[in-house]
This record gives sequence, structure tokens and C-alpha cells, in this order.
Amino acid sequence: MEPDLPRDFKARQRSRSRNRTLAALSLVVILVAWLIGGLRRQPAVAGFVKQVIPEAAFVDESGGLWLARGSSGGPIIAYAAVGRAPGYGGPIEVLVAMDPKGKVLGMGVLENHETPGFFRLLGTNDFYAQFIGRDVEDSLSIGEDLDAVSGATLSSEGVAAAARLAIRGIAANALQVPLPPEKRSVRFGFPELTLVLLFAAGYVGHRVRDGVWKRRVRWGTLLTGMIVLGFIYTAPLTIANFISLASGYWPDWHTNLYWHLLIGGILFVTSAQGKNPYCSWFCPFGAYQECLSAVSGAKSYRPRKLHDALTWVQRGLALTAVVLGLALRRPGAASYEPFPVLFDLRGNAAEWGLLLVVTLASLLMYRPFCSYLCPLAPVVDYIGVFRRWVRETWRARRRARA
Amino acid sequence: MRLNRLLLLGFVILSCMLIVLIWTINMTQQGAEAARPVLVTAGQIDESIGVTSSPFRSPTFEPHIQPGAIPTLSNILEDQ
Repeated sequence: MEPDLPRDFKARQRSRSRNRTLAALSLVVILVAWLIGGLRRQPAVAGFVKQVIPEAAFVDESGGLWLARGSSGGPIIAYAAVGRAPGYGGPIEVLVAMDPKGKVLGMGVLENHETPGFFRLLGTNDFYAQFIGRDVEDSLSIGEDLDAVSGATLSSEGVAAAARLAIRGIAANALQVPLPPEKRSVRFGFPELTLVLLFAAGYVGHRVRDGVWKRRVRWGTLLTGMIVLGFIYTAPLTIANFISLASGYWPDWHTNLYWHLLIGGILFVTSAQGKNPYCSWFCPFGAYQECLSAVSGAKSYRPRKLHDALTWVQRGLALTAVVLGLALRRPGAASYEPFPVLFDLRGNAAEWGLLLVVTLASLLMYRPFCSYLCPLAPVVDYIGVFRRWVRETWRARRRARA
Repeated sequence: MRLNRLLLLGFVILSCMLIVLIWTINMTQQGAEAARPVLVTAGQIDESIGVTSSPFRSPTFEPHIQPGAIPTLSNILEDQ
């Protein structure tokens, strides 16, 4: 065995060097996709103003406000403005038209980056109709005078927040109606508390030696993650969260502290500890697969060469999702995980098909989706590669100084 | 062992095909939504609930039509 060691060492060095080159190349591809996405043009608003105010014959723009008239030089019959607020996958741009008395005449969503299947629920559930006829002084807040659409809560909140901003713009610049400052209380409830506790359990769990208690606690955190973060709140981590982060689409931390805790927690713990606490300790979909494996008695199956080759397939899927999401600035559409289909029972035929395939495979092998398809594993690996590179560079510099 | 490998390969290939299909459906749907955004007006709501609350539907509202906007018979004959 002794003479083989140097050859093994060289092979490992070569593999590490190849991985670093590919990591650098994929970073370049991601940067190019990010730049392409940044060059996208915003939709022309003027054309849509006449559609939300069908009676408008003339529309003029003045300082971000659209003035609609029934005739050239005639009195203003309506005002329109655009508001922009973060949703689930990115900013939502809403156009609101009001009459001079301060009643909402019409509205439209000009731009969104949400998951299409979920965002369409807003239209089919008459969410927008709630705004029509509302007064400028109405609060237009979810839970007060508006109802969110189940399964698309963040999108509902994003549309409502964008509409409020547009209405505030009309009130201040056209109607001269003073409105009180918007309430921005930090929302810290049961899901946020559960998430913090699960992160703490994952962090401590990685430091504790294997044993009966560790296994019991891990099952506890997995089931809590599946029930609370999955079935009750439908808020598992997806690749869309990372694409939103890279796109600069950060939701308001007052109303969506959960998002910041989830992303911040993973980045912080993985960078500090070098181990990802989410996947192995409280991923709701991972827990679902483990439950199926536990029922059927399926074991981990990883034939070395095939597993290595399939790992590159998984990395390719993750890179494609990130590149698509960044270049088209559509984080929700780039996400392919079947999590919402399982936890919210909503999805298209292909998403149901993927869930069925993964469910059947979970009865035969341990965590098949996590091992071969999940785009989050390569992202976390990437953080690990970067962390190792920083540590090695830091140590080399210290050695050079010494 | 060979059957296990085949099952694993089959699982990954079938899943990859479904993932490409998911991307295609999502991108097509979102592209269509971007091209035709959701727009809701008071008129549409009135029609759906059968109430005429729009100020533009009041008897005093007179839509203004620009001269020449709608071609008359004499305009058409002049053009010819």
C-alpha cells in the first residue's frame, strides 16, 4: 500500500485542482447571467395606464404620476401611479388608478418574479377585486381589510404593499391627502422561533458525538421541520431563495424576517462551522424522504463511480437553475423542487410527476432527491469550497510571514 | 447490483426529464404573464357583480371622441 500513497495524493490534488477550476468557471457563468439579467428592460407603463382607465383618451406623465383626461385639455378624470414592493421571488410592480375623489378605479400587476403556478392563484381567487372601489385612506393591509390567498401569502402581501405605495404616491402628489406613516412592526412569530431553535439544535448537534440521544434529537428536529416549516407554514428553503439573494431581491425584514433568518442562518453556520445544519437536521423534504426510507427499510445506495458521475449531473442542474433564474430574473420559475406540491398540494403535472418519482425512489433508497437532484447541496458545497480556499490562503500567508 | 444501478440511472434520467419540463412550463407561463399582465378595472368588477358603480357609467359622463378618430363615409371617399 505504501508506494500507492503518493499516486493517491497526486490524484487527489488533481481532482481538487479540477474542482477549483470548474468552480471558478461556473462563477464566471453565473456572473455573466447576473449581468444579462440586469440589462432587462422594465415594461413601458404608459400603455397599461389606458387599460386600467379605459375611459382615458389622453395620458400625460408628470413626476412618476400619470394624469388621465377624457379629452385634450379637459379635466383630469383619474390618476395612476406605480408601486414596487418585494414578493416571494422578487419585486412586484403594481399600477393603481384612482379617481380625483380618492377611490381605486383599477389596478394591474405589471411585473412579478413569483412562481407562476402560485401567483396565478391571486387572479383566480379574486384577490385584485378587493382593491377596486377602496378609499385612499383605507389601510389595505393583509389581515385588516384584505384577505391573503392561501398558498400565495407572500405574493399577496407583496401586491398589497406595492399597491399601498402607489396609492401613497397619488395621495401625496395629486390628491394632497396627508396619510399617516405606514406601520412597520417586526413580525416574529412561531415559524421564526421554530427556525431559530432548529438552527441552534443543528449547530449543537453537529458538535456532539454520535449516540442514541443525538439520533433521537435529530428525528425530533426532522419531524418538527417537516410539520412546522413544511406542512403548516409551507416555507422550506428552495433555490429560488438563493437566486433572489443574488438578484438583490431581498424582502422587507420587518414583514419577512423568516426569509432573512433562513438564508442568514445557513450562510452563517455553514461558513463558520463548515457543515450545513439545514439539510441533515431539519429540511422538511429530507425528513419526508427519511420517513419513507424508515418505513420501507431502504438503505443508502452510492456506487462510487456512478455516484461521482451523477454528482456532476446534480451540479449541472443547480447551475442551470441559477443561470436561468439570474439571466431571466425569475427565481420562482427556475426552482424545480417538488416541495410546494407535497406541502401545499399544488403544482402542475410535471411537478406531481417528479414528486411521485421521488416518493417511489425513497422507498428503495435513502434520500434520493437530496443525493442526486436537490440544487441546494451543490450551493452549500460551493460555500464549503470557498470557505476552504479562504482558510488555506489565510494559513499560507501566515506561514509565509512566519 | 446491476438492477440497482439501472434503477438509480432510470430515476435520475426520468427526474431530469421532468425537471426540464417543469422549467419549460414555468418559463412559458411567466413569459405569457409578462406579455399580458393582470389588469383589473372597476368596469370588469361591475360586469361580474352586475352593479354600475363606475363614475364613467354615470349619465353625466360623456366620452369624448377626437374629430377624425373614427373615419366617416366622406373621409373614406376622399381617401379613395
